Amino acid sequence: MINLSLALLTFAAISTAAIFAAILDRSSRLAGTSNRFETQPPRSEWGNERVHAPAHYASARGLAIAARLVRSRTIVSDVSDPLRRSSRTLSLFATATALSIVPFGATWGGEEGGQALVAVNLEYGLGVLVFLVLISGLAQAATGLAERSLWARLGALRIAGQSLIGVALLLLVFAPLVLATTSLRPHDIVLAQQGTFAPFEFLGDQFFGLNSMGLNRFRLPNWFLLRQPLTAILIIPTLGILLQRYSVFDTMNNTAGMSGLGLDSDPSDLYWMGIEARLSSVLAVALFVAFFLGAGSIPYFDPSILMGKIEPILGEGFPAALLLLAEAGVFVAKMLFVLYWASILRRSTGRARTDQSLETMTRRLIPLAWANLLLASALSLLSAPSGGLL
Amino acid sequence: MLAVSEAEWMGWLAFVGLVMVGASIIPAVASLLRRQLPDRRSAQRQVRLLRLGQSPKTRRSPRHAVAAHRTFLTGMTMTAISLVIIPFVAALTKLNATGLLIAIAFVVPSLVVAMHSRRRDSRGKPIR
Repeated sequence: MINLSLALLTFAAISTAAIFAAILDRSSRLAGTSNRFETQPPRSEWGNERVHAPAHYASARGLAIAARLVRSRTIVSDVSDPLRRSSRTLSLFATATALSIVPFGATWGGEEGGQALVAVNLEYGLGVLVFLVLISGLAQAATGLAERSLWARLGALRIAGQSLIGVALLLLVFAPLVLATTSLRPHDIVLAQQGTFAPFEFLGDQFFGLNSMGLNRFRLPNWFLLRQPLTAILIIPTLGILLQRYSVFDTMNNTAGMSGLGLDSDPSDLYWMGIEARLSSVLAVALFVAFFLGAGSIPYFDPSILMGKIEPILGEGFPAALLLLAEAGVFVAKMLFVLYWASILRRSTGRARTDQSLETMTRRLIPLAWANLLLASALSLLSAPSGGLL
Repeated sequence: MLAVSEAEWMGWLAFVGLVMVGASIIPAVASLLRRQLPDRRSAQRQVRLLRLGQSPKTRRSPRHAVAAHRTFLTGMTMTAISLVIIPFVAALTKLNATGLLIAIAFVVPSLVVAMHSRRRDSRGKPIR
């Protein structure tokens, strides 16, 4: 029963993030820039407000999308419909399964060894996650192979290349987290991020007496974003490249279909493509929040203290349920925050060509990930008790 | 490897089912509405294939290239699964996560040597 409730909560969190991502996408595409007044919509004849085109309004846009979905299907003789349909289903299935493995909080009631706040708590979850991301990427490539045009071929080729190299990079970026927690269970990575740590503790008292000045009282949340900043920096381009979804009508990519933006594709095909792209971006953000921002943990807040105070009055179940809802809420808030900054980052940076991003991954990011892995393993050997892990 | 309790299977089924149903509800309603339309409008329309030009080269279908590409991708996937993923999973099941450190101890020295070694020409200068 509790797993069902956790699955429902995860679904609610993911849906909220997906809706927010869609709103952000839309508003960032429609936002005029202040230095180019000609891109702004005209002002109304009376009053100061802007007169937007009908496509600006969500209701008009929703109606137009619904009308396009209802109209008759477009069938192109050279497109293999079964292959396209099955690869889209496989991709959606893999992404949804990957989302169900990502934990959104620590434990039920904040107890040690309590029920994990994740729909599916897999022992080798990190390996399964990487495999599912690979499957999703290759299913995208298969979608391109269903069409017999040269452009679809090229798209499939670049997605396949990016998926294969991206998965190798993802393994290297995840390895320091595994070393720090000595576990492949995603929930253990979230548990390792509870509480706080003193960043200057290693200085010791003998080093200029810095700690006697109170530096060791300065504590930061135990998030991997702060404990392993290089890994956190590396995971951003890795997830960005691995989970971005190209499409022929992608305006950011400066490509257009034969008859206009998305007008020559089948509307329901475009719909499925959009859903998959949206879920992939939510997966990237959920992974970042769970593995680097402590999932639903609230900084400088120890749930056991609150539980100890409330339990004698209200019993055990109610406060634990409240804590569960609070953790889910904090997880969603963190996801929305990251989505907002990701949209700003996407708008303010150029989109690299496929060959450029592949070269960046193989020449720059993979060596950096190796260096980071060496650094993390050296630090873990230094901090391990005598003898180390080896 | 996938030691999952029955409750977790139920959780997974509920989540994936909700995502699938949530995603397919709009196309399902659209298809239902489409079926209610008069026959002439709801019939599927065959569209001729768009070609970029009329020369024999552009009209030729790249069937061989498609087959070769599919074979290449299938081969890559199967190779990745058989050479990397199955041994990886087997090693992890046996050695646990500390196996990663042992693997690094084996791989990193050879990687460092390989990255430092450069091809040189007959005069001893590195070839870029």
